[in-house]
Amino acid sequence: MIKISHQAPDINQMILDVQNPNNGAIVVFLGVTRKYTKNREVLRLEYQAYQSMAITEIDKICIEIKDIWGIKDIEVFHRIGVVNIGDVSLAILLGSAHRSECFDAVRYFVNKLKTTVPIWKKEQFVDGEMWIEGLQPEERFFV
Amino acid sequence: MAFARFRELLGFHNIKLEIPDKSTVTDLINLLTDKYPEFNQCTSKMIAVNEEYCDNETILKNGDVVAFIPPVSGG
Repeated sequence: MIKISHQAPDINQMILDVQNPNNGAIVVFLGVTRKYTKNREVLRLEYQAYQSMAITEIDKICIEIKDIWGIKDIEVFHRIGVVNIGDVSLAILLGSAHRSECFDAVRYFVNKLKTTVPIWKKEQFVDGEMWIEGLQPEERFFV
Repeated sequence: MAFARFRELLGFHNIKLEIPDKSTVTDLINLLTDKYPEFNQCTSKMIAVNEEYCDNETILKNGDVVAFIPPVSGG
């Protein structure tokens, strides 16, 4: 299931949703709001989405990882609106028979989401705010 | 439709426009740039027509929803 919401995710429920007798591995990825970006203190983040298209684009990634790694049990959550420091903004849970495909697929999933899914974050600092656009230099290394 | 920084620059989320038949996305961009000089600052954008990414040569038809999408930054 794919969900985009102003409310915090229920991670325990998401785990239950991918847990079944076919899956020997469940990988949980949580994107969490950091307090510092480039040594600048962040007060909170604000996320905005083109919601219907974002769900379509996330669904395309789900189809890709089903095709590439055969992963069928997928739960994806993205928060929108104001997100405080330490809160979860993104949750991706994958279940499969073995861990290897889950690890590869979750990395692919996050990287793809960060390049195609129309969601944006604004960082709010003590002394200003700024929309973040595209992958940041420290993220590009890992794609 | 405009989002994030583009929305703040242009001052609208969505607007309805009448454009000549067989206009392309490029034609729409030129029209918007004339109407909203700030549109020049909306660089590096991706375009979606009816929620599918497309290129600037896409021909628009009646009722199409065009979104100007800044580089995304979810996660």
